[in-house]
Amino acid sequence: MSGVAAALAIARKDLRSELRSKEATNAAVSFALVILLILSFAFEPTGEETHAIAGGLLWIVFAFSGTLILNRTFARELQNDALEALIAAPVPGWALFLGKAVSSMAMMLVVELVSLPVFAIFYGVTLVWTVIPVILLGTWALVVVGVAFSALTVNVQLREVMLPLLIYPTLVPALIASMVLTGNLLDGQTFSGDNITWLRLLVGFDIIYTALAVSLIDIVLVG
Amino acid sequence: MVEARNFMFLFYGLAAAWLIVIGYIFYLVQRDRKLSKELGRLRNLIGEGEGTER
Amino acid sequence: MREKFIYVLGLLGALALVANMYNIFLVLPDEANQGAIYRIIFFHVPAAIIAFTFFFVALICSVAFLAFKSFKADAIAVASTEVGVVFALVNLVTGSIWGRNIWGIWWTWDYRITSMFVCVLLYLGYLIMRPAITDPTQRGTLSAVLSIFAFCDVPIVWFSIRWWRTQHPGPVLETGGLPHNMAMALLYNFIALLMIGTALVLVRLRSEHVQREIESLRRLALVEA
Repeated sequence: MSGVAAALAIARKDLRSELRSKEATNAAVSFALVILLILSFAFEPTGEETHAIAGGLLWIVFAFSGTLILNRTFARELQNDALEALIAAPVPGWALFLGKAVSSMAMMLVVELVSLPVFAIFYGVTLVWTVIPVILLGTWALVVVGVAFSALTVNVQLREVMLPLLIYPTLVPALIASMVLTGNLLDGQTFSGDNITWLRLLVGFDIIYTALAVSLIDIVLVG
Repeated sequence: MVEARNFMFLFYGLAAAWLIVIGYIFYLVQRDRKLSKELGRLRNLIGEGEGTER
Repeated sequence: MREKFIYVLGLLGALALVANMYNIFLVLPDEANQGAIYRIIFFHVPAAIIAFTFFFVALICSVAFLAFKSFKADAIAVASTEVGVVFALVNLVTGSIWGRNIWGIWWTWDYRITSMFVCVLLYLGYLIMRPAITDPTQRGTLSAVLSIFAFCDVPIVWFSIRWWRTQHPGPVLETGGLPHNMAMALLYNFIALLMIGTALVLVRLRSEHVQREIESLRRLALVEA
């Protein structure tokens, strides 16, 4: 089985399993909505200052609800020794990683698709098309780092606590870039000047970390 | 008396730096003691059979 | 023999530090607008450099562990990281106190202090994760990978936060070039602190070896029980 076909097969398996149980996405969507609610108490939703930090708030919602999905990526394989089976399968490590990343990305996009309109309504923000590439790139950064560390922590005690503790500092550059870009774009700016540099940072981060994760995933899983 | 106040802060700063390092040294010493005690206990438990070591 | 070396190293470092103190406090003049507080730079800056040096050592040892499965390398990695975090904390705290004195605020979110803070968080995660893994080989492998991720992140964090935080200019730390006598004092302090730091790493390393012996004895005890 070619690597790409294997990756797609793994992604399909995860998505099908998720489609049947919907446990991770339900939890993540609910959590996202709860965070939006709580943030609306912390910050006056339609105030001037809140409009300025709207980009940041959105990514807080994505980052926090994302850990629920990312935690499950490899944790779901712990039952019935499925993880050992996956590692033993004649599937290259990068294919396993990419398959997991693609399925997590799909789940994350579902969560974001639900939270974006709610966010726009709560905070009186008009969504623009230009935000889409930023959301895609930022989510990919979240997913790549999250899946890599999920594999890292799958056999570690206190996994659910360790994962956020490890991925958030690592994601700081991507989160800053995404937050600033989203805020600027929602404000009406276009991809010019400073925003191009932020975009470059985000793309660079994605490339570097995808490469890093793909090359180290074998060591992490097999040892 | 800006001079004097700045000396106070200098003292605080250096005191903080030293306290952190000395605190770490204390932590190391305590850890060492605890581990040595544990090692002694385990050695006694296994007995003096040095030959059965892997 | 080894122990003697550690003591000598530590003592030398301490002596060098004390000798330099004379220079720092009694010889060098006060700075024009900061008064005496600027002298904290002789600890603040070397602490940061030493922290990054030890994190780099940890990176090398992590790669060495992955390549050669050397547990010695793994032990040096954790000892080095731990002492690195201590020096990073010294850097943050002295910087904070310096800032409180000069600018009136304990924390500023400017790029240097923020990236150092993120760096501390990364390596704290490393130190917290290690005890959570019981199997030594797996512990070494996973922490090595984490160390690589962490070290790769540090420069990216530095540049991104620097770019972010200079958009909204905040207080600037450096005032420009250093006069020669101050630069020499900085260098001497750096060497002295490096000696002390290395002594600490060696002590922590010894502690790590004792811990591994305990683990292997525990396994032995379990087998015999």
